[in-house]
Amino acid sequence: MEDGSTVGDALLLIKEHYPVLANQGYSPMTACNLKHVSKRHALEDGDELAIFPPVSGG
Amino acid sequence: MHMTEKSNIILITPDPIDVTELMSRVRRSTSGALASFVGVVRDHHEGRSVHHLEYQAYPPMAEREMARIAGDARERWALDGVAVIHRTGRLEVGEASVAIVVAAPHRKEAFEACSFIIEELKRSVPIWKKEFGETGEAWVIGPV
Repeated sequence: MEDGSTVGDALLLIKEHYPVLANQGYSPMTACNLKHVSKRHALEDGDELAIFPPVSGG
Repeated sequence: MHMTEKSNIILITPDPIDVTELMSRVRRSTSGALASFVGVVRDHHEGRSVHHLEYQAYPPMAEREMARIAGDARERWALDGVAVIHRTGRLEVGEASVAIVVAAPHRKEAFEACSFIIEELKRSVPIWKKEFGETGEAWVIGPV
C-alpha cells in the first residue's frame, strides 16, 4: 500500500480479496498495535492491524 | 504517603475465578470498601435458551485494554487496588465469566469505579462470546 494509507484503505483492500468480509452486516472494529484506532488512522510499515467484530465480552 | 508503582491485577485465564482471593489481594489497610462485579453465564439471551458459552480473546490487546481501563479508573477515583479478570474457553450456565474487584477507602468511589470498569470492558476489550443453545451455535456480535 502507498505511504499514508489509512486503516479504511486497508479494509477496502482486504474486502476485495475476501468478499465474505464485505457482507457481514456489521461495521468491524479496528486496532493498530494493540490499540483501538479509527478508520482514518494512518498506517506505517511494521504496524499490526487487527480487524474484528464488535466485541461481546463480559 | 509514598506512592510505589500501582500494580493492578489484570488477567485473562481459562481457570475458574476466585473472587474472595482477589478481594484479599486488592485490599490495603486503608481500604474501608471492597466492591465487586461478577458476570455470570445465564440460561437465556434474547428469548432463546442458552446451554453454554465459549469465550475467545485477542489476548495481548485484551490485557492491554483491561490494564488501560483499570488505570483510567485509578486516575478518576481514589482507589487502593483494582482486579479485572476475564475467563476464556467453555463456560456453563452459572459460571463466572468476568470479575471486577475494587478496593478503596470509601464505598462511593469503590462502587462508581467498579461500575465504570465493567461498562468500559464491555465496550472495548477484544473478547467475544459464542452462544450454544436450542437454535444452534452463533457468535454474539456486540452493539455497533
